[in-house]
Amino acid sequence: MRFESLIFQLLVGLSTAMLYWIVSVGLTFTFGVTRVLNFAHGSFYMLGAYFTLALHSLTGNFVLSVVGASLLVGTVGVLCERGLIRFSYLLPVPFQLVLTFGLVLVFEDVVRFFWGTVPKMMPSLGIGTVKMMGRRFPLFSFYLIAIGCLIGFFLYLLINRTKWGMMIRAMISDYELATATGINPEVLYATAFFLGSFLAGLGGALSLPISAASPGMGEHIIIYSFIVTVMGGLGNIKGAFVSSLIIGVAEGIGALYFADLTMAIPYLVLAAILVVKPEGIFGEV
Amino acid sequence: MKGKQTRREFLRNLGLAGAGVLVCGALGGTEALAKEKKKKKLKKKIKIGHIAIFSGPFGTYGELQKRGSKLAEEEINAAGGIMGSPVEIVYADSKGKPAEATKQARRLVESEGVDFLIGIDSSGVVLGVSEVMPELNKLLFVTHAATHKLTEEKVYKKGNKHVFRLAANVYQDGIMAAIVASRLPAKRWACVHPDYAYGYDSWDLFKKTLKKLRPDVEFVGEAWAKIGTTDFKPFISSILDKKPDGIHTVEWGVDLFTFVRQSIEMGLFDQVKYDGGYAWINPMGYSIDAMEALAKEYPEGAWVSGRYVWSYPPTPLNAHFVKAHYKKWKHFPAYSGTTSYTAVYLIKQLVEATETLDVDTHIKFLEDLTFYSPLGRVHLRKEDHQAVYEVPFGQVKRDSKFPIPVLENLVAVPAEMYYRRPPFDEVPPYTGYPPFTKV
Repeated sequence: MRFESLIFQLLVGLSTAMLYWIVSVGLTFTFGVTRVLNFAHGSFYMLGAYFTLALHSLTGNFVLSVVGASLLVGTVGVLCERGLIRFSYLLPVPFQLVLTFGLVLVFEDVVRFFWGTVPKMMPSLGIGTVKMMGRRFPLFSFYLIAIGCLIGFFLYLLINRTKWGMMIRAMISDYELATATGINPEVLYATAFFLGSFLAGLGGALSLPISAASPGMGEHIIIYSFIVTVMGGLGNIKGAFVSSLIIGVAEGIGALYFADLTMAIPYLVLAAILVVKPEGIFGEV
Repeated sequence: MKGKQTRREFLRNLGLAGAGVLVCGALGGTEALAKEKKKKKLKKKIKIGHIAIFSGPFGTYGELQKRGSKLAEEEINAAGGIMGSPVEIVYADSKGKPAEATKQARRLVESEGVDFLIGIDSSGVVLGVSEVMPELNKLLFVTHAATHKLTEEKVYKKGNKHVFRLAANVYQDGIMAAIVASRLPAKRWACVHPDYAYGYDSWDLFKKTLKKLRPDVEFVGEAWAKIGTTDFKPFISSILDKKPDGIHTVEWGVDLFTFVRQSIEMGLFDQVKYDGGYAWINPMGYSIDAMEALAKEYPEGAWVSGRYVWSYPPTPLNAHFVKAHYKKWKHFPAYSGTTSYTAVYLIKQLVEATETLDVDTHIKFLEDLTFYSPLGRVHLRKEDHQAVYEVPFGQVKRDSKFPIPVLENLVAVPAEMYYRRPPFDEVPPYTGYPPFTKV
């Protein structure tokens, strides 16, 4: 009985963790490459959800809508980077924060303008549940876990096995030398931003079947993404994966044993880890 | 003195008699009286400041309120205004922050020159704003925020006379919810609540009342989810683990949408099923935003309520309001829209009956006033300035004639039986409360 409950909380925690992972890896990756801590990442998450809503009502196909919306958000991300954010690369950090925070406000109003303030729910996907140990578990959560792992795998391949990934790594480890060998940083910045925003959009799209889209949805996720990013080490992808898992599972187990403390759990975990490892679990990249 | 009414008393009683009609939009009293009033124009314009959340995650709530006050403003102006003066509502965004709302209240009174303030969405904000009302020397009619601390502590214990609340408060979410729960077979109750004062207050009142009515019940589990939770699965799973047969939840807004959907998926509803429906008590479930979002999903047979439900009371006044609201906005009225509508009409009634803008006179007039609005018969208690009116609970039922589910098996208890009474040290229901009134 107790053991089963624990397994359930673990599974539930894992599926939560995967959403944190998908979104925060985008944030940490863009930071690793561009050194801009992008507040508007949460807005890209929100746009992902709203674009999916729109595409889903047009096409009726969820998978297609998710892919389409993520690509669209990626494009929006690149436009923001090329149009605005790239001019802030050499400015002090506070300027970058103000700029990206300004984007948050703009996107929130854009969403409000087109979709209104009332939170919107997608019709239930109706993919059902699996029965496990006498209880029901949403099938979609299993998909989410699988998608999260797949993304981890693809990112690994992309960064370690492709020329693009090599250039990115070269640029992160030694900017001067990398550019001297003919790497064009502008292209890399733009593509990195595309990938980061794409992932944020994907996270937002995948959150739709479980929760509603609302103009404020980005605020919640951006806090978690920051926690995960800082905990894993700024810019560290492996760190983002591990700390997402830690936060998600801690929340899952915490809800069972420390019902009064659930709100504080992510922060307590973060504080505990930073006390031991101030650089984050795997250190800054 | 006896038998001889003072002018003010006479006017006040007149106001009472005519209140129903007044609120309807048609002027009460005779034409002669109306003419006389026209002569005594008080001000070029009667201005009302409406403070609510118009931005951020909870920006919806300001919109829902605005639908009510805007409609009242249009109706009143079309019918000749307040004593011949047009009424104008000035909207201000509280951003859900006490400091911002206080700043706006100050600005509205000092620069915009408003005569009254209405609105305020959240409990924390209302406690902050109420502090400055005596200093600004204007009345605030609270149309949404529900903390009982406002009326029990700020008004009753600390004597802040400048605040009145027209919306039902946590008594509805805790005490009335428990009265409904006491009639269900469920014995093992658990809760999933938002992790802030409103959740704790409601659960506390619920437990105390239910224990009083049904000493045989147990409280087996609690889950506290912070506002903005997008994934309730950890909480649902931990509650399922406690094997409850009844759920009390005051989740609301977007969190509620998520929570209901995930509860259906994970079988929390099935866990609390009984012969006649679900032992699922969700006092905020019949909020218009929730019903619109979950129109096709909210399980039929769950017990829900609001601080007003559009189908109750079945009076011509309410019917007029619901119709006019639907015609103008293409939505059913939200409770906060209804209380906002009520606030504007109450101000009209207040000014016309007292023929002054003097705040002390207004307070005296309002205390212990009974008036009619779409909410029903409303009594403004003298001690705590809380509007006392009952709101029924009912079971969700889909009806193809309506865009949102309707409520069936409505149950209502006279509000006097379940609103805590001064000095607020007892938990209702007060002894001898009558059996359910079936409507």
